[in-house]
Amino acid sequence: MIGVGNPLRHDDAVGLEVARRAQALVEDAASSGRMAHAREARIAICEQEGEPLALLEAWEGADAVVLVDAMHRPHTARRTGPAIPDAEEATHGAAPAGTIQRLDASTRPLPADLSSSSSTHALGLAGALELGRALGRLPARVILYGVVGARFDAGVGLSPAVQEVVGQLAARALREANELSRPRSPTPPRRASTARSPPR
Amino acid sequence: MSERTRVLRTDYLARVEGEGAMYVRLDGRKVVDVKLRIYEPPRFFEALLRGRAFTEAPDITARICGICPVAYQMSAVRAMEDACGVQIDDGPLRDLRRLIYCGEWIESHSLHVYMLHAPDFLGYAGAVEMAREHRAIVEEGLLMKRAGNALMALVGGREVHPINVRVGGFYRVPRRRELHTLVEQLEAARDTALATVRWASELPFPEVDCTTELVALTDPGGEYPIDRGTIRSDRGLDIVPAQFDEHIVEDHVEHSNALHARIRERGTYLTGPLARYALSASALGALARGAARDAGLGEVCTNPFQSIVVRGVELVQACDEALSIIGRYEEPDAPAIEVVPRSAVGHGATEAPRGLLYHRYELAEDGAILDARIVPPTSQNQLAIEENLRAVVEDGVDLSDQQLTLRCEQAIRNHDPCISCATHFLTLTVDRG
Repeated sequence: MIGVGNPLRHDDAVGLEVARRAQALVEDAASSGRMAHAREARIAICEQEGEPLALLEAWEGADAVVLVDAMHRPHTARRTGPAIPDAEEATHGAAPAGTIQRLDASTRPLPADLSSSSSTHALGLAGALELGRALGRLPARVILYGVVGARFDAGVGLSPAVQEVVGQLAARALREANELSRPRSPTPPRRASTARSPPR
Repeated sequence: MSERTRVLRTDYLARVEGEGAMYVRLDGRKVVDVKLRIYEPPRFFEALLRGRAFTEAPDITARICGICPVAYQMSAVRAMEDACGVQIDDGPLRDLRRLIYCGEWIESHSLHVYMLHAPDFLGYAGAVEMAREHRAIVEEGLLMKRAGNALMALVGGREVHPINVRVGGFYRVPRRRELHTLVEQLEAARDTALATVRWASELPFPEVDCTTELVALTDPGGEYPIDRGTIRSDRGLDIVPAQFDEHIVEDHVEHSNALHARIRERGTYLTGPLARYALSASALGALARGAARDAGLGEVCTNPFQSIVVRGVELVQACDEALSIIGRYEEPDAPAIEVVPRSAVGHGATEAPRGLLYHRYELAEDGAILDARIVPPTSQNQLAIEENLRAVVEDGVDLSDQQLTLRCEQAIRNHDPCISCATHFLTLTVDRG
């Protein structure tokens, strides 16, 4: 499980915060002996700033990867279409900050409107995924949770609406990572749909 | 617009660092306007530095760029040490500085050669598309970059934005045995770099001759220029960094958020690999010199499209030099020497992967920064890039718009511009009519 983000760009840090929260959940479970199937022990959780080579190395050798990253608010109403069957259209117009979108990038690229990166680096997360795919260096299952952010300017701290979803997303991403880490699972991984942050 | 007028534009340049655009206008066969437009917002780093302690400059300026943070750190520490009357010109501390700088050259050049520049020659939109059919090239690039990352992480504490560099030296110096863990990886990288030079030399290059004045540091000890030296050109410029302002001026132009630098007496100039190679090819190690000779580079290379070969040669040099430094490394007695601030002005110039990077600081007696000036390579190269563009358009006037636009974008990428670096300046002009 990889949280991706820039800690100095407000909501861009949400992936990092989710990874930290997930790590804390795993440690709590371990200390209270609740790791019934010891599956958590099979999950490596890390934080990345989105440098493509570092990402390729971070998921190297993994059967599956669950990525969590911030995303910009979609500019216009559109459906993502059949290319990404898991993705439900967020909203018409602007998705509110804190909206969570789940995408399965195991066999297909991210939709074009999510592929542009706010990073000044030449390849973003989408580029790293496609580079990994082209080189045969992508885990068999690649799930991305995107969280719509409200602000990406310089500074520290998440907006309230984004902060609010950190806990539930950490638990959800961890649950999915758990399911994906079952060796040769007889059932396909659960397909979640778009979740919204609870009304404030 | 008349029927004879052609406009070529790319609103968002791909495979460069940061945000820039290109605009070219032709009237018939005549090129009437060429602009490299840098629209990434200014970042005001120089203003940010005012009032901060002299010891903070390396870490603050490193944040200007995620690709060449070491260049910023090294120009900053050189300038601060110059202001404070301290010199670190030999011994293990200087070796370690060159070593981490080699790591940055390896990281940056391998990113450019394999991921950003190679697709131009092989006819792909980008590295991802190229990777599908030329997996080996991309894998080689990743291997090289990994070696650079390992070097940066070990000496600098992190792969990007290293945190171990300070005025006077380092916070912690690596143990000898730690450095030796990198030898195997660097040897493999050096072999890969040699193969890269051979491969790159056989790419199809358009015939373009860059007649711009070439400016680079030359090292007083006869080494290939990286971390120090006098600023020289192939047309007689020969100055120490403290004379930079006397000879180089910067102007603001409307279409760019980066200042345009020029030599006061003569105008446009170019810094970067072509300039370094033209002025210091004889200072390359035997291995890199041999690779350049076998690639048919000659003493001087003035075709910017062939900069991919020169970067390859510099990759060989950087790997080779890193191995030599590791081979002779003895841990210094202390990780840094003491630097006591004083009221003074200091200058520092080093060779970032994409060219000369100049820093100047004025310090108060307690070491607070009163004034800062940073002149990154891309703002120095802007005029030369535009001149190159003009030549490429004149030469390719019979190409279709699509072909010529692509050729123009390549002409920009030849210089590996770092637009994010170039827009850090602070010159606020209020025009009230």
